[in-house]
Amino acid sequence: MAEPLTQAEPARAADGQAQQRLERLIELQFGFVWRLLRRVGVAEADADDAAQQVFIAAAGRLGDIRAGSERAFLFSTALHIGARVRRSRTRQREDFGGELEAHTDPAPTPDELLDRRRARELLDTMLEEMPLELRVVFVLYEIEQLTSVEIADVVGIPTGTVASRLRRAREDFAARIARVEARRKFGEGE
Amino acid sequence: MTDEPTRLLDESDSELLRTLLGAAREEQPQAAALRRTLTAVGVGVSAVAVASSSSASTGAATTAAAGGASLAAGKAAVPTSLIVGKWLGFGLITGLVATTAVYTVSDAMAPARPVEPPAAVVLPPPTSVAAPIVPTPATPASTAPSSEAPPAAVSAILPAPSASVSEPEPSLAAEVSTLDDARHALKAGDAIRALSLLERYEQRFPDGRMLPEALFIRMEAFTRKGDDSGALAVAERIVRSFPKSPHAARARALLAAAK
Repeated sequence: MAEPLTQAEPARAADGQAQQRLERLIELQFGFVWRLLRRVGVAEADADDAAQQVFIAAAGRLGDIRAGSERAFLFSTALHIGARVRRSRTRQREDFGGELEAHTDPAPTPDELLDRRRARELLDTMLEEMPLELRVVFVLYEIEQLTSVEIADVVGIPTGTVASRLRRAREDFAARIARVEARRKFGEGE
Repeated sequence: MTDEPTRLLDESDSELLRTLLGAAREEQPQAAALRRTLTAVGVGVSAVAVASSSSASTGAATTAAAGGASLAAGKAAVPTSLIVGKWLGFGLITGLVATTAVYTVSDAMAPARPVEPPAAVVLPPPTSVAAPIVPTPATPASTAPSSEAPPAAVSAILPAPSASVSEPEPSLAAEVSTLDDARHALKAGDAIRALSLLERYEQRFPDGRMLPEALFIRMEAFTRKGDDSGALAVAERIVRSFPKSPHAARARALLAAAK
């Protein structure tokens, strides 16, 4: 079959560029989006699907996303989708009468902390109690290791606000760590 | 930046704190999840090829993958993207019907795909401080009163939409949810229900963010229903309205195959 070679060619080249850009975006940022979803409270079992939804949204709007602003788009989309997934999970948890919560021990032993999964569960429990606007700055800085300027760009807030939120988040987190450590010491002394 | 505070993982005396942050930093998604996402959005020629034969995809990941699997499956069958316009030829429409089956076969049999190095990176590297700051106030985004709106806590940290970044609006979750339902229906073999849901989607979100995706699923639903003229009409619409969309190549191939 004769290939239409007229006006379709430029559009096809643009398709190729869009696909290449999308593929690169996913390969570079999938881990970032996935971990962000996890740290804002999306369960591990839901994180793959949630991350996929984020990139499907990005694919649908790729032409509108300015080069250099991809991570900001992914960030805000991930928060929206993460919120939806969490609401869904909360409903399920309510249906189970809170049984899922019962497995979270706030004061694990040192041996348990060797288990990275267990450590992440404890971290997520602590982060869950932190206000979201502090939590995202904390996660982006302390875990994703973005700079303050990058966080300002991604979240869309001034760098001064990043600094103040990070300071408050650290104070909040330090207090939670101190409480857990105090419980551990108390438990060991018993 | 010189006044950047030292990260807690590097400076804290608390072993517990370092353990927790270190565990979080090490956490990675499985490679199969990334590949499924590549497949779901219809990119990554050999992404399908590598799609792990080990882990069975579940939930929305699977259903979303089904939405884009036809394209990827076609690509897997002819592993050079240079002849993408010919990969399915006249049998494309028929091939669409067998999307899931083809995907499964290629999924299980294809060889591993070498990961391309991120050359010519579009995105700023994580350490870059050269990215321009968008001077938007840290005020809460407008509160759109919708049952599907994100919780106030989410809106509170997002700035007002700026011209430089396409911010998703509160209806995005509803859009995604509706399309998920349509995908589920299509996967279950109920193309009529999928089409009904997609029609409802367009009525509810005439300027929807996910419209290209919705049209793509609709094209597939028409094909599965055996309504070739409907599928071609949607393909023309995709090409006309979203010529740069990742789905446009697939739509063009469908149109070319029908000529």
